[in-house]
Amino acid sequence: MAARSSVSVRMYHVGFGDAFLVTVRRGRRTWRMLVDCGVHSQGTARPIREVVSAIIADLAEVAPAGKPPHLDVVVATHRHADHISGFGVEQWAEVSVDEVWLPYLEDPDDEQARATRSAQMAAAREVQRLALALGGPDRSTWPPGLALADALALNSLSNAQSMDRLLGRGSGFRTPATVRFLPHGDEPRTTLPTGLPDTVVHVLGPPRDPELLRRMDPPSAVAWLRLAGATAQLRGDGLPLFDPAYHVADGSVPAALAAVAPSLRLDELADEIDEVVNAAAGIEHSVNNSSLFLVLDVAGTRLVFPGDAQYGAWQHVLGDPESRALVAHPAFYKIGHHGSHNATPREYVESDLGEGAYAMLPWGLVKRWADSIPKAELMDALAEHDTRVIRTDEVLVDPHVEVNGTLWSEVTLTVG
Amino acid sequence: MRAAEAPGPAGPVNTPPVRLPDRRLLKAFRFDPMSSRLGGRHLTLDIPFETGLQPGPMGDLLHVVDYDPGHQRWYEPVDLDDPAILAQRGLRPSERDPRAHQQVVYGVAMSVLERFERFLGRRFRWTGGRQLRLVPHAFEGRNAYFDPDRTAVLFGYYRAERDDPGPNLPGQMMFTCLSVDIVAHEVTHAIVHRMRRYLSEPTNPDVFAWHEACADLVALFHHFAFRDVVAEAVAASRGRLQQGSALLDLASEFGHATGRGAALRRAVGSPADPEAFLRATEPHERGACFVAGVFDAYLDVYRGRIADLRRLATGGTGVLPPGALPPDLVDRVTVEAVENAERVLGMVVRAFDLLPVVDVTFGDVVRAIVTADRSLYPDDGLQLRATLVESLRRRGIWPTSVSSLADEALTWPRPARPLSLTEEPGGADLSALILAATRDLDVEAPMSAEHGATSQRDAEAHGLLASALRAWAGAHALELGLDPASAVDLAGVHVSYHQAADRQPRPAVVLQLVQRRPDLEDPHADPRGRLAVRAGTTVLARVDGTVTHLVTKPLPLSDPAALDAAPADVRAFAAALHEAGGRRLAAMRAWADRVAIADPLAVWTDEPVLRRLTFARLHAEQSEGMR
Repeated sequence: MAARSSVSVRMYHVGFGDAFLVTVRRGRRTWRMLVDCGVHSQGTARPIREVVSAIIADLAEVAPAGKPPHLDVVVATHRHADHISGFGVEQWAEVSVDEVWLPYLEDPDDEQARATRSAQMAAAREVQRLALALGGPDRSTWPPGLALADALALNSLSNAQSMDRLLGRGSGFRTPATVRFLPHGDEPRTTLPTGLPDTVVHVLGPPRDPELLRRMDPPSAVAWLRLAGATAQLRGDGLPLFDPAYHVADGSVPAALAAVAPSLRLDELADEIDEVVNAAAGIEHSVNNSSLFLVLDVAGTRLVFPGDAQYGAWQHVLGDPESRALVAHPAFYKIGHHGSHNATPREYVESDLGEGAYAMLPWGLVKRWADSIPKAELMDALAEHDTRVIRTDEVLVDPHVEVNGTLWSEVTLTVG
Repeated sequence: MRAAEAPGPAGPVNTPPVRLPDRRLLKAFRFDPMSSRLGGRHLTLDIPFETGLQPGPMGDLLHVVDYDPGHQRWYEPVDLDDPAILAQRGLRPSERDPRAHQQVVYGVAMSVLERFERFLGRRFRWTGGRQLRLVPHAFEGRNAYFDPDRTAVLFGYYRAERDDPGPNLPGQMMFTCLSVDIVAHEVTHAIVHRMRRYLSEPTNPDVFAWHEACADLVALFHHFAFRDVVAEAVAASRGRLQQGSALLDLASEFGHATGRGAALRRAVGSPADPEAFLRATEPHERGACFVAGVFDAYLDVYRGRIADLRRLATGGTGVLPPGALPPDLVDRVTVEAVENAERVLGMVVRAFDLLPVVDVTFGDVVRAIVTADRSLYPDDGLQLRATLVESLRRRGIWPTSVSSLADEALTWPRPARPLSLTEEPGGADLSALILAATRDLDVEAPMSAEHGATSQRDAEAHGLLASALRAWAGAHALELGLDPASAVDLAGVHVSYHQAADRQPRPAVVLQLVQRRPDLEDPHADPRGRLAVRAGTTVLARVDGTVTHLVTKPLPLSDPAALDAAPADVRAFAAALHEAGGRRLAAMRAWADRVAIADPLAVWTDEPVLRRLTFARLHAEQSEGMR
């Protein structure tokens, strides 16, 4: 077999979002896959256009003379803006792409998937409508909870242009790409060849079992359902509750009552806002669980890309012995969901990840999430297992890691 | 202050002055505006006559604060002492008059408080002698909840759907404060919180479920306090008397219009299925299983109690003639139904003295019920206790840590060696406490203070007692299942006087001891925001100080070497609790993880999810809960 084989993962510093260029070299042959390209509206490190330009420039540099920039595979793990917003950039039309891999939930011909997807989207739009109804037109006055709900909903929506390109509609890539919806129906996992010897990609998720699918449905709490679609005006229809004869004239509130009121802080009640925030977080969680869960296997060196799979989707993987063996002791792990709570099960770090793996944390500062993302316990647990974590905000001194200013970090692993 | 000779605010009108009444009668919807409209009748609330009740109403225990922040308006507070209102036994309930709303929340809350007090064996008051605040128009939303931080029950209002209003008028304004059941339910949450404040920390799936079960149980049995309502249901049941279906109907009516009791409606009267309880994690579902079990016991005992009446009424044939029941029979059956409700609810409420201070489970509740009831009714002449334990067992509810469901096994353990509150080291003088509690038994006298103070002297006496009891608990930590190296806090102390089968009062001193253990808390989390880890021990003693029962919720000792110095019997006891504490800690952590994993919002905030689980949230999310 080829004497010199390697696999490298380049993490572009987009901010709060994912963009990974994976390059496998087997002898003189190479295979390139881009896993996601997007950034969250709340945490852009630089305009996503610049990142896309940089990726395409990097591809152009390695393309054979006279050939366009080329990718063997483009993966969009799930439809969140922080994973796909970059595909909206027009410059992608210059790049030739052989295949596009998407979670089966994006398959326009799969009825079940279509229903789940449209329920998610409808719920996200409903969150935005309610946020506006509850918060009023001036967003600067919104309480933090509403702003969070709106931001989460926005992350699920307004990615139509990116999805169109990925699905081969509209301007697409340089030449029409083959679109695969994964994993294939009725298979517990799908294994795809890359054209290189001993190099395959295993697709372990999203799951298709109905119980886990239910987790992808939008929240069904009764209070939320009552709110969603409520035709009654939610706030301030201005009508008094009672005849003005019952109103206490200003300044003539009985002293004893007036004295009690301030300690009640009644002006700070925010009941329905909490509902909307919880619903928004629920939708976000559902879409995360629709992530493509990939393992790239280069002659036994395995790289794990879980997308943003959260607890339910992870359980699906860890609960299947064969899938679990594929994610155990990887050489590389893409830390799920920006290092947040429950996107990397503690159990996985403790008993499967092994010692000394490389990991990448795609993360950019979003002030209001700074305390919870990345989760301190997760980072500590990774450190306990000597995981070599490559971050955008710290430089890891390591012979296998290369950093290009603030634009990207790259790890190169030797295979075989 | 309750009824007294004192003249009203306007001064005496008649000479010699006429004694003020003992009771105040007020009207409410039956049991909410919608069903009142359909049924055409109102409820009469029969509550103690508070003298000196101010407009609001504002009394000794309750303040109704009718400020509407949504409209930034105060509504005119009602003066229930207005002769026009007194003379017609309360304002006529009306959705359009905010004063009628104030009257309903005040009247129902008082009615619930009085019933509770009757079973507690002592006078009830809020912490620090403060008042519970009731805010009838607190926010726009389909919710109502007790907020421990505000010491307030907040009621929402909302517009009925224009497209699908159900039985309501399209777009009509709906007020949660007008539902008798909602008010009773929420006020009960406040009472439970008063008696066990750490049950606002959901350290296992039963803690909030118990809160819900209590609130539903009290609200449900509150229906049986209205003799005319029960009589009507009994009369309507005709020949089906024996099945108790009339009472079931009454129970299922509970929460119907409000949508609040969905889980309960499904559970009460449903066939007993232990799996339902084991499956349920959502607090309302879980709590409903307990309520259904208690209701099964209620029906069982009721059927037994009316069997003789039925034989009498049928000349021994057991077959009732067709047509309406004779009014005398209706009356006698009604009396049984009402008294039986008192008995069953009383048995559950009395158990509060014997509940753990923290981390309660339904198994603990069963043990507390049995221990409390057994000490008062050793023979269980009516088979109430046995029936209740069996009904709960059929619904999957029993303590897992006991060897059998016999009385002896279920009773809480005694201390490892004789222990007395008055014994050195530490040692407290209980006389002032007992005197104050005894004085308080006189319902016509003003109350003294337990925490906080009505008088400086009371406060000082209480402060001395509290520090003496803390010192005593510290000195006997191992014997109490506590950690000798951590500070002990006194979460409550009171004396209760429950009447026993022989009609004599059984005075008992109840201590709630609690220890926070920062050394066992999550070191990653901000110390101010993280979940507290607490151990707690409830101590039940005679008034001479002899400790009779201990209800422990232990944690591992910070230094197990402390065991070595202890005498053998204490060492064995404390070592067993040290082990049990390790298991409890692991279970609490696993539960916190499980809840966090199920909560999508956990990603976006560093506030522990269990801290965000509040009554407000709980009540907003009725059927789905955590998945």
